[in-house]
Amino acid sequence: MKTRIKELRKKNKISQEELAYAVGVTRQTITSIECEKYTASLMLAYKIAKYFDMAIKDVFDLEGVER
Amino acid sequence: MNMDEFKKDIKSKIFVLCGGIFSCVTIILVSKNLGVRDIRIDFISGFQLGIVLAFEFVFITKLIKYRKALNDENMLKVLYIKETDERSVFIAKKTATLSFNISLSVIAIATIVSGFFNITVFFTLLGVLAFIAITKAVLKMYYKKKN
Repeated sequence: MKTRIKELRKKNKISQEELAYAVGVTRQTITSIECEKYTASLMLAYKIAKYFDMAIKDVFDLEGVER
Repeated sequence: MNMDEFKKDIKSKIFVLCGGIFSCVTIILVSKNLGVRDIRIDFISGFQLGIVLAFEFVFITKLIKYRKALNDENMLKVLYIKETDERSVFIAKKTATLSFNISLSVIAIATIVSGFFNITVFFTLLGVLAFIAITKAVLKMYYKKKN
């Protein structure tokens, strides 16, 4: 699943480690999400979106999700 | 799981680890005086001692790590993140399920093959197979009811 996490991190000058610590996951999980290898759970997606003070749909690209 | 529950979990793990360390030391001390001296038994007792020492080392390492974490809030949070990280939990569950099923299949094949050669090995493997299958069934029922 495509995300804007990398773009938002760079815009806010936040490292993967800082974001990971803030939302309660390992840095490897953030890396996997950014590389589209792992899809965050609803809870994690919510925490990440809340961290950037945005809606989930503005951080995660839900257009490509199959119905 | 929140931080308070995690702290309780760490404390119970420390208790279990202490029990494990005590058991390993007991086994090492008792095993020195057991058994008949025979070159085959020497190999087996060497293997047993090696396994027990490896467990002892792992238990002591984990005990030190958990004790340090309980005294340092930042280290506790890092440990909490490491143990509850959703991707790590997902990988561990997938690995456990697949490796369990592969092991069960291999033991089943080994049981069948051993039946042609050695009755002791056959019944030992059959016992292991039965234990694993019953454990899996019981755990499946437990988690189905729980969730």
